[in-house]
Amino acid sequence: MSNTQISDALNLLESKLTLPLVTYLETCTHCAVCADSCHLYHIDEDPIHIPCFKADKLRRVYKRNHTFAGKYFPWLVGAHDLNDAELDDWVDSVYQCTMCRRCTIACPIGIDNSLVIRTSRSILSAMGKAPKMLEEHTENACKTGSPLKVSKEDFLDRLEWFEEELQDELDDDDYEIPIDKEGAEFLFIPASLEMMKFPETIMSTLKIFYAAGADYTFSSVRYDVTNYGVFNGDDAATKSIAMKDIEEANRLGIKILVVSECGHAYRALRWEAPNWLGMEYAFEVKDIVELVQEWISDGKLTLDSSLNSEKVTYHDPCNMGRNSGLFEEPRDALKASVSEFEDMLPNRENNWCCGGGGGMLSMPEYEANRLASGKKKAEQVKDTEAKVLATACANCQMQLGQVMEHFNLDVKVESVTDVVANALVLENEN
Amino acid sequence: MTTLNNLTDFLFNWAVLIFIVGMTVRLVRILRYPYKKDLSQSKGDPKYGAFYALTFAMLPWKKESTKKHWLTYTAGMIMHLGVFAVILFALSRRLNIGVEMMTTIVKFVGPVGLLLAFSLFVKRATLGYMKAISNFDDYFSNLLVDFYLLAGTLTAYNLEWVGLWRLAAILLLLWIPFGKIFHMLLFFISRVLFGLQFGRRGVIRHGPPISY
Repeated sequence: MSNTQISDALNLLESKLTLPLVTYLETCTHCAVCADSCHLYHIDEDPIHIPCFKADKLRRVYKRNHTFAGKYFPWLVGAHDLNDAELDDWVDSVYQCTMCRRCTIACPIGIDNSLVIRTSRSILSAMGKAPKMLEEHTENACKTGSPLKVSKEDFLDRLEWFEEELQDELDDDDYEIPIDKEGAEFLFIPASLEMMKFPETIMSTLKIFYAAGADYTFSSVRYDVTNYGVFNGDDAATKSIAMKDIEEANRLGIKILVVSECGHAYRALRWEAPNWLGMEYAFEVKDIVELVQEWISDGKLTLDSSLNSEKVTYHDPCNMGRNSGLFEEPRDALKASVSEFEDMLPNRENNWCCGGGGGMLSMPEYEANRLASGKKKAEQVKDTEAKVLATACANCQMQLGQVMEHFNLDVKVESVTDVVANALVLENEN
Repeated sequence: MTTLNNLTDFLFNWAVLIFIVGMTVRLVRILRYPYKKDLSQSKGDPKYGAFYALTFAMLPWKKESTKKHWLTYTAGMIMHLGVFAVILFALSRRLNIGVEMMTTIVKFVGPVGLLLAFSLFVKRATLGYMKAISNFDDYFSNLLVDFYLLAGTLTAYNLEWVGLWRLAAILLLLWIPFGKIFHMLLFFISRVLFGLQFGRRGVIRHGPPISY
């Protein structure tokens, strides 16, 4: 790395220093009680996965440049200069962290390691050190609107297929999927992972929209809600992707932007984007599960829980639960839709991360650790003896499916909307 | 002892001055960083989040980490109680209020606090994962606190140790503004910031207790 690059990296760090970040960088006492809270640390107790150890990568550079002791007596406080070797040393720790914030809940001081890791990723990304596939996906998202390169034609073909399928299933020849409908109440944006791997989840959502009589639309411009910039730390891409969704919502004049079951996309649009972009929205952002729960509680959906007779448990996606406070909505929706529900222990804000967040599914170099880190989750699921594991995030759904297989558990992994849609009683069925 | 007493008596005031200036400068520098208004639509109650983070969340049974690591948590709490007792002992002597009571308290709390504080040092110095995350500051800060507890406790038993106790206080006062013991101030800011955000998002919420 040239001196100019080092200077750029330090300037980037400087630009990101806020009171919360500085406080979290200055306050850690290295008590290490966070170690046990990390699902990755439980693989083999490798210190590189101790949350405070991961955060220390950035912390020691911060100290070297921003504290008196670090500047003049770096060895006293573990401060380090930023250089190429130092940054290379960051990569494995920083990119394997799923930024699930379980350690933040556990930390006696309340240090948000996720914020520190996200900042570290921004620096690594700006220095060209982000994992290759993450970079590619982010680039695809910026160029084509979809990290998995789902084209507009592919998307519209899919919708046409859904429409035909649902016309049959709903026995309604007039059934149409609205696209680019201005003034609709809801704009629903799915995730590319659902389009490609879990199309049944979108079908389930469409059935629920139909049953609730929702005034919704898809967009032919923004049809993938994922935001890979969040994962790789590319700030410009993160903002640009979020901004396109916001502009489309404004163009269509909708009231509520509904994010599909995609945890990081919901978190990004619901909580982060207003602050990244320095703007308040003219519309609300909701997750589809929030809406489904509202419709159930308003009596807009008729459900027959006996149609889901197998025992169901629920995995709290970190971005929906610990990061967004959506704990009861998915549970209420599931409890209304299944015969038997049992929560895993621990759950809600103490829930174990599935291991697939933070972009881990797009980093094949860490696949072995990703699967192994699902051990805690597999143990939790096994303890419930549930036959169906529901979750509200396509990313988690993908990871959990692989984790169940990896740990030889005969458990079906489904989205919350799949479970609810399966219990739907449509008027024309009565 | 007389020489040490005289020397530390002279240096103590300078140490207090450096402590005050050092703490103020470091704190002001940190507080100068922006705390931006959160523009997202709130789901919960940030004030309750901050209140909870500073109060109930600190109860040992409210956190998985403290439940699992109850020994470390208890050792840490008693160590901190020991330090506060020794500080109050110093204040009581200076203000000549409740000296007898504080002497008695330190005689009991001091040795236990010292033992547990040193056990945390041993833990850090011997366990592989603790060594991996530790730097000079972690060991040095602990030893300074141990020294302060030791000297304060010795003084509670015999006033002849007061010079040594003052020396320990001087070293501690000089180090706190630069090392990790500065968390004595930032701890509260960090908990509040954590509580505000998690309260705002409805993660920390009124209602049923957390289950684990």
